[in-house]
Amino acid sequence: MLRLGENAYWAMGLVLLPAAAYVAVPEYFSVVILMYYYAALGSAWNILGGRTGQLSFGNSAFLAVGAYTSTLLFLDYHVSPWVGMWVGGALAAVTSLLLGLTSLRLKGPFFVMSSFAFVQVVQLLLAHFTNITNGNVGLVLPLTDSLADMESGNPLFYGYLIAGILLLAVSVNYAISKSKTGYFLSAIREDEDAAKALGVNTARYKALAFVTSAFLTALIGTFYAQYLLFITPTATASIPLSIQIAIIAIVGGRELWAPVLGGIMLEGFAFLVETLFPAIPGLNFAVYAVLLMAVIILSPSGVYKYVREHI
Amino acid sequence: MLELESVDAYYGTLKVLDSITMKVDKGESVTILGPNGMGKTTLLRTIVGLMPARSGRIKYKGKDITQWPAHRRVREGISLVPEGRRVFPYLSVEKNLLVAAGTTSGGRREEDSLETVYSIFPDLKAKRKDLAGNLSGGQQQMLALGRSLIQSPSLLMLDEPSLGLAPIVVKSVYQAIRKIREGREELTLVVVEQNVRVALENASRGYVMQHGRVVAAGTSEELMNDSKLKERYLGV
Repeated sequence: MLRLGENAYWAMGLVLLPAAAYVAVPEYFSVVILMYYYAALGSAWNILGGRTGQLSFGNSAFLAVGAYTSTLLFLDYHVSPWVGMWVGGALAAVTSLLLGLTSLRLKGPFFVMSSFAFVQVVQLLLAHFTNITNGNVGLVLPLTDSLADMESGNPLFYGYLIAGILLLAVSVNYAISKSKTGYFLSAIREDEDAAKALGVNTARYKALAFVTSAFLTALIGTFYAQYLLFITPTATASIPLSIQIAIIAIVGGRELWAPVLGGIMLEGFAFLVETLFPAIPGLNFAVYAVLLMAVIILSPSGVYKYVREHI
Repeated sequence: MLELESVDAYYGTLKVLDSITMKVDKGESVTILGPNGMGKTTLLRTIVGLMPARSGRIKYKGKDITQWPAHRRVREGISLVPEGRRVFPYLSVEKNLLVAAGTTSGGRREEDSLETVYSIFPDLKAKRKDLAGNLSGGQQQMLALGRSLIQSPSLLMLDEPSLGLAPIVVKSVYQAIRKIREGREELTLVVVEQNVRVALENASRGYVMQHGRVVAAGTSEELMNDSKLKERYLGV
């Protein structure tokens, strides 16, 4: 008999869910896509924020880098988003490396503040250079429904596109956790000074975590652009979104599947709240706040760990 | 082995190391004594590279390492057991050791080095899956020692290994240190201590620090018998 571990169950569940939802509740299919989208963002954030303990509220800036890079390459140079997404990832990696050279020297609240500032700067730059980015009006992608352009008339395509990116983000987390790099990152989180005294090149490993997280986030940015076919500076490089990403991973926890659970859970709650109380916009943020407080009080290491230990 | 030539170090504008000059030979065991806040910890941190020397030179195995980053010094065989042990509390005992092994192993088999550490500290083997934060103070000190030992250092520096431990535990910590030295005649030891008697019993030479300067140096016997010195700087 083949015995399946937890990883196999999660992976299978994530692969089956879109198809099941598409058949059973097609009118709510977009909820599954959003769940995966937030789960992927949380999983990418986890590499820097969870494993390495560098609390970043700047990840949405890399989402913007990915979304704008692939979109501009497509609109201006007819480069397929299938190629553009990797270019966006590379550009986000370079950006995060340059930023990290300075910002990762900051500790605690100072790093957090620098990450807020970064999002704001990226948003302002995107809004300012209107001749390239079309400013706050945003960019619209043409509706081609062609797979070559990373588009499709079938929503299942987007479900599996984001599922693929999500599984990639989880796989990278897994590979890190099993490697020497993973040990070093957790040593940095626990006691950066002691890690340094033991010979861990802390600057290098923090930069590695930052770059990996930024790269994965940018890939998700391309998905976002292709799914909505419309991007603006404020919808991508946004402080509220950055906070939401961090909350997903903090509520979930830093274990392999924890941010995935966090993303699915928070988007699930947001959907319920919006459906039950459509007249109160923004109520989902209040729900996030309550959830965050509940987690901090009841299970500071996240919902995932709580579920594993109690159920 | 280790040579410091007029090393100065600062916290901002505050001078904490004032023209430190000292020399430690291969295989020696040297202690650095002095009351709290006199720069002993800073001295070790400067040697391992956690704190920059603003002037002066640090030489190790004949090479000028003054500008080397900490991770390079550790790779070349300098290892520090920091003050207060500083184990990674939410990592298992074994992962604590593997972090330390990972920075120096260069592809050597980590299993073997783990077994070497476990043979000296059997307690750690029994608790290898436990979180380091759940160990007793003495066990944490053993883990901190094991973390350095797994790096196979040439120069092992211990910052207050007896701090906050019960007398009987202090005894077993020093027993472990002696055990580490057995069969490792090449190993050079620099120990910072406030516990003067224990420190001098376990070292061949000592330096006494006061306000960031070396105010006295000598063999353990000389320092032990210098009553004026003991009264003035060591308060015993």
